[in-house]
Amino acid sequence: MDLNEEKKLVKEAKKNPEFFGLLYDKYYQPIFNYTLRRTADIESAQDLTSQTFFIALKNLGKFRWQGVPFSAWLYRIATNEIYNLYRKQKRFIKISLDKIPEIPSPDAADKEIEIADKELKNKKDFIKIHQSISKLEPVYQSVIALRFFDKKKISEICQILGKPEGTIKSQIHRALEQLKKLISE
Amino acid sequence: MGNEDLIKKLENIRLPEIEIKSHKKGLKTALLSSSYFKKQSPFEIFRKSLVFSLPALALLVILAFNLIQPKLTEAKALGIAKNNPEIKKLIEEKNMVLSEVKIKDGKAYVLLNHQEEVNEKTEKTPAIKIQKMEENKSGDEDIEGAIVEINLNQKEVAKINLIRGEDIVPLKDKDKESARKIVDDEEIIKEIIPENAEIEKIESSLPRKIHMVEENQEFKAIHNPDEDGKKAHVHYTSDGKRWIIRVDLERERVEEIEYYSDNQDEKGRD
Repeated sequence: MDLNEEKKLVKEAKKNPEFFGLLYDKYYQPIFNYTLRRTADIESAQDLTSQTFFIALKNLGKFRWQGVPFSAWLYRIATNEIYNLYRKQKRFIKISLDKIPEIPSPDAADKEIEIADKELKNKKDFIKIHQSISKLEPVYQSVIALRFFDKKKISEICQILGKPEGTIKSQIHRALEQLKKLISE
Repeated sequence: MGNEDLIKKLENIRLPEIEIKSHKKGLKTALLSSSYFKKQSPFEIFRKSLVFSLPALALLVILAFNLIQPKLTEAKALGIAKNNPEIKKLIEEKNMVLSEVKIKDGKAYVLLNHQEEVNEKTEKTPAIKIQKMEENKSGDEDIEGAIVEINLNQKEVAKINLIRGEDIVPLKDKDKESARKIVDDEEIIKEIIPENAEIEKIESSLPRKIHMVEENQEFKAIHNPDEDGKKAHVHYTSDGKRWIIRVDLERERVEEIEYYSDNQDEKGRD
């Protein structure tokens, strides 16, 4: 889907749930993966993904197409929600979702989460490096995750974080420097 | 470890690729059935616009009612006053007008006074009026205004409080002396009034521009000296005839001569 097609889709999604469903289908997994790689916690990733899409839906009417892909807007919402989580110092603890309807969690779903949790723990290298990354400042964690886990280009990170290229490049450089020290400790 | 090694490590790390179908499906259902899309239905848009427009409409109605209603009440009060025989007589015979209306506690108060007569003719020479003698005998020659109280519920005139110049702008002795001098100096007076006519009295004349104000739960007439000067009536009598000279004390000129006679063709002099 090119940018023009996405633009039309977003316009239709503002009034038609069917089109919003298409956007959701396209971006659910990338957002879930991003939040999972940021938190290394299944439950937190689920909640952050839910929060991201509800915020996106609530503000969809205000979304103005300015050449920034819809996905960048979703990543930005998700990143802000992750920051909020850090700010509240409730890291990886279930976030308050008062305004979000409870998604039913039948037995089958519980089992699915159990399997997912096991699968996550099996990614030992990731868990190990995540422990070091999680000690970085949140903004450095963002650039590392976006650049190396989500394989985003510098220009895309600029769109997501709303920062100029020079800033992003220097943040990546500093993040790597700090991460090196943390790994070698 | 160098930067390049770290980058390689980060890029090649086996990342969790987890898909939780139940969450994806549940979240989608919750999103698509959320109030956001319910609000977008045509009925909701209509309902929303109605919610916003109804208070505005109500405000407009209240505003219009508040602006129009007092005017309707005032018009109603003026209609009641005009149909009263006494007031009708004052309007027709004494050239009076209903100049102000105030509404309070289900009552209307209407100010009745002489019409303002300022034109080229009256500016230069005194206006001469010939009145019937009966009007003088009836004693209402010095009625110059009234405050009419109207009961709006019963649609009738409840009270007519006459206003006299003396009550509003009382004259001092020096004012009376000035009035006498102005009259003596006016050539037309010498032509009209016989030499043997005598001044019976000099009294205050109600200014043409007066207003109503509320004071102690009642409406009373007041005069603004900046709007209209002090006036006097000089009453001359001779052989049962009467001349009432209206004098503007500020401008030091005779404004009007009223001659009371049985013969309407007379011009003021025997």
